Amino acid sequence: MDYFLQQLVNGLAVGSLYALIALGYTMVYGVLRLINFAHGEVFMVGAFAGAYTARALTGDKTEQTFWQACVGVMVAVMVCSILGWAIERFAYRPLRNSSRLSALITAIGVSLLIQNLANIEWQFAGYRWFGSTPTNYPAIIGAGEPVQVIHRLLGVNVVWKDVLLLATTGAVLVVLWFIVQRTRSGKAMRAVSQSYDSARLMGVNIDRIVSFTFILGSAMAAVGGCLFCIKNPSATPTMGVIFGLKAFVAAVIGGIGNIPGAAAGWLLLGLVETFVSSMGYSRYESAIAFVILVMVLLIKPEGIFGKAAPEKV
Amino acid sequence: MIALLSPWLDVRGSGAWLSASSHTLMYDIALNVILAMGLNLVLGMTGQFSIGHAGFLAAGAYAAVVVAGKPEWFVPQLAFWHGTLELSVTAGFVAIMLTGTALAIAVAAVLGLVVGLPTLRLRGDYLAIATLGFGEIVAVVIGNSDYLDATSGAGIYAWRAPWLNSEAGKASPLHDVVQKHLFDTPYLVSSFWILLGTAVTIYVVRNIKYSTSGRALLAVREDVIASEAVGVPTTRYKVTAFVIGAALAGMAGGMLSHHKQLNPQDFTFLRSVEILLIVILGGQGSITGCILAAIAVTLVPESLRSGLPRSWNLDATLIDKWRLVVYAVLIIAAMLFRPQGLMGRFEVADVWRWARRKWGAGRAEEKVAQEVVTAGISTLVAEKEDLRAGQAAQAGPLLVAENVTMNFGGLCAVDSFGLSLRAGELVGLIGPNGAGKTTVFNVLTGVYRPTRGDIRVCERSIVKLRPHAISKRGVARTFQNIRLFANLSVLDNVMIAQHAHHRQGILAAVLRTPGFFEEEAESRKRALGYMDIFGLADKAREQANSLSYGDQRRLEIARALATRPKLLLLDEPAAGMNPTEKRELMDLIQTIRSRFGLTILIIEHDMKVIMGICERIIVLDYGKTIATGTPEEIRRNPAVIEAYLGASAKQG
Repeated sequence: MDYFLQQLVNGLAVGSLYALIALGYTMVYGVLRLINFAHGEVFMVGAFAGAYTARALTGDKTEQTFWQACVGVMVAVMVCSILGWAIERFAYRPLRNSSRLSALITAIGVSLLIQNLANIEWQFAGYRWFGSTPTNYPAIIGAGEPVQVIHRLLGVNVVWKDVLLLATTGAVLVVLWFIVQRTRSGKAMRAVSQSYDSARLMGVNIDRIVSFTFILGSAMAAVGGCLFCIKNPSATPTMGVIFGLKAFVAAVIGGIGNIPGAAAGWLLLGLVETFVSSMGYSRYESAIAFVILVMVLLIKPEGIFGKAAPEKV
Repeated sequence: MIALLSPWLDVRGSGAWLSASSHTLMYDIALNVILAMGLNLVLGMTGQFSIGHAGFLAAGAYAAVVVAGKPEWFVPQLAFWHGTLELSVTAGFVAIMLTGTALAIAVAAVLGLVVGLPTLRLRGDYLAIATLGFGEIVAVVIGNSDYLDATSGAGIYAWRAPWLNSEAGKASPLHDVVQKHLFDTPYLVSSFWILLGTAVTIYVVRNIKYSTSGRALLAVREDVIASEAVGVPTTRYKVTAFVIGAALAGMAGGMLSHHKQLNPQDFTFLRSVEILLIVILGGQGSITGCILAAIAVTLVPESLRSGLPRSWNLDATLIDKWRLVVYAVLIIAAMLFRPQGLMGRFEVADVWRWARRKWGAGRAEEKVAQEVVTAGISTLVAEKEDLRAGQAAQAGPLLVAENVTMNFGGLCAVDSFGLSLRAGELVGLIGPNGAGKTTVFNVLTGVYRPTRGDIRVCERSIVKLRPHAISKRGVARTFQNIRLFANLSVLDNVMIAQHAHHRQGILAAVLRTPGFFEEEAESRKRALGYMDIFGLADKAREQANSLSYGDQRRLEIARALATRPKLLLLDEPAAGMNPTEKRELMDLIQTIRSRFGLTILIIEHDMKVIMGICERIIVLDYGKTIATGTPEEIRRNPAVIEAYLGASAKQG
């Protein structure tokens, strides 16, 4: 039982990271019907932004305080929002009316571009930036300590950073829910994802809503990037690839374009992965997501919570 | 220029016609051509986005090395290779290479099936994700496995074909045998091999492109729903293209393993991206473009690397990193500024034909075409009598729909729709906008599966069939918002529609059997016959989307007719036509009906057309049938007037 609870907590922590990224995929897909391959790279840039902010604030130390990390998250959110907006504005928008294949190929191109620019080591202002050597993300002081209360009550070891991960994700999800369900822009976003053309005819400014969606998704990816680094303390240019893919798988499992579905997808994926690697098969961890993907596509391709929407003819 | 080329020509004169480095380069080009041809089938021709071809390359390479590592399977005499058994050694060596390549192809094809089958039957971009994941998994497995990575330690296998003598000073017996008995240098062995493989690949892909199957692939790229409607089994073609693409990548892998020791670096994502870039630059399915792009993409970075001044002091890994950046920029730029690629849809042959037509030499060709048109018409006329006889023999109703209901979520688009069509009838389906008319068509043709109810064509239920199978049963349709294969020629549009009647498969196309040529000529003849009925025969080579609106509507009907239907469903055929065209269309519908013994169900908003040609009219409103009867009855039916004009009109 203890073992089970322990893995449950670990799975939830991993899964909450997937959730933040998966939501970005699913929102963009909902609005544009486009797999935004570059989303994983936005996540990566978010992690770097967090790491470099910490470097500036702590003067290149290996530890930072909680509040310094918060500043890092804010900087990352800003950087990624701008990046996400720019990707949509300059790469995707000119192709809005071309074939879906063109947009998809461009998305891969953008992903490659960002990833490989980050793979080159730059010298600037007396510091090294990016490059394939992992960039250290300072640990948050005290985050590695176990939470005594939980240990006493449930008998499982939960460290503070897991709590931090879950709490932040929870908070972000609540904010997102509020934006999507309770604001004008959120309503417009839902309208666009129902029908692009009707929404435009109803006076929704499509360009503005698409930009808004990208900014929102990228901001969440930025938070996800920083949280990822809190858990595994280094950022690399390729971190977005597999992680982004898995998050996408989580989105498909839940039903792509469906926000509560994405949240359920991450839960499932995070839990399955944690259990499988705790059983000693961690080598195959990356493959599991794709096995699940193939199974979902075979059995219920619209995803667990998705509705099969017939194509309009 | 000389400076750029100098490393590739053997200037030191060591006897071989190519220097070792230029040989390697030629090998790389050839491999990229094969790989790009495979991806071109999937991406360029079928329009499915796949980005994991390095994974298939790796699978093939490792499979072939397993075979190459067992020379004793093939040449039991190899133990005595220093004897006189030259012939058996040579034969054994060829057997090793052939078997290795065959196994490489088989392994990659099976993997392609595993990846492609679950993803390709779905609409959307799942293949992109699945292949991306597949490529990554293969790269990770090879990179991390002690067993597969020869560079990471003393694996039980050094992943190297035994004739590749990479350990200096230690001659491998097979290497010497090859050198002694087959060719002067081992480079030439593999040169011959790879060039043969490349030639075969180009030949195969070209033969597929210009065949029934190739046209079907292009149709899938253009419009999946329209392809299904004219009888093309789209999923089967997508999977076939993907498996052939994977098999070609596997073959390239097998050849790679015959040439050099395997290194995980050869199978990374970079490789997949390079192939993708080649296909994108090459154009949508253009073989010529693909070859040119493969040469350019392989040569340019290599030439730059050796051509850049040494004083810049650039290290190789940095150049590789920049190379990927440049690739990425090229991919984005190509999509933004020239998405059709360098060559677009064109081949060398097309350019040649264009040049000949431009300078007058092609006139003979045009004249032949006219004779083919005439022949096509006479074929169709001869068939007419048979068709009529068939119609008369048809005793029961041609189509019966019983209690058909279609719900979308809470919305009931069609409610308990019933219909019975006798052979030869011409029936109109009318109703206000949103009444569910097109949904009825979609249900009848299998685009939607009805929530309830049964539909039978000639007494056999078609409810569970895919659209292409229903098309094969003799139901053809046109679309409300024209769905032609926009970037294909008018002739191709009509030829694709005869798909269900073609017997020669992909193998016959590859081998160019006599039966294939016969069928191809027959199909072309018939297509021109159909086109002539609609006045389109002289526009055979024009691109479908360059036709006028009226012509596009007529071409759609011609395409539907080419599936040789019993029942033709026309969805607003007169939309957008002027009064003269509408009158012509009415005549045309009557003509084809009597000529091909058709039963026709027509949706139309123009009451002149409907009242003028239909024998019976069905009126839908909010998914329910509110009236049926002759045009005269419908005109006076109060329920119909209410549906169209509102309750007050009835009272007034």
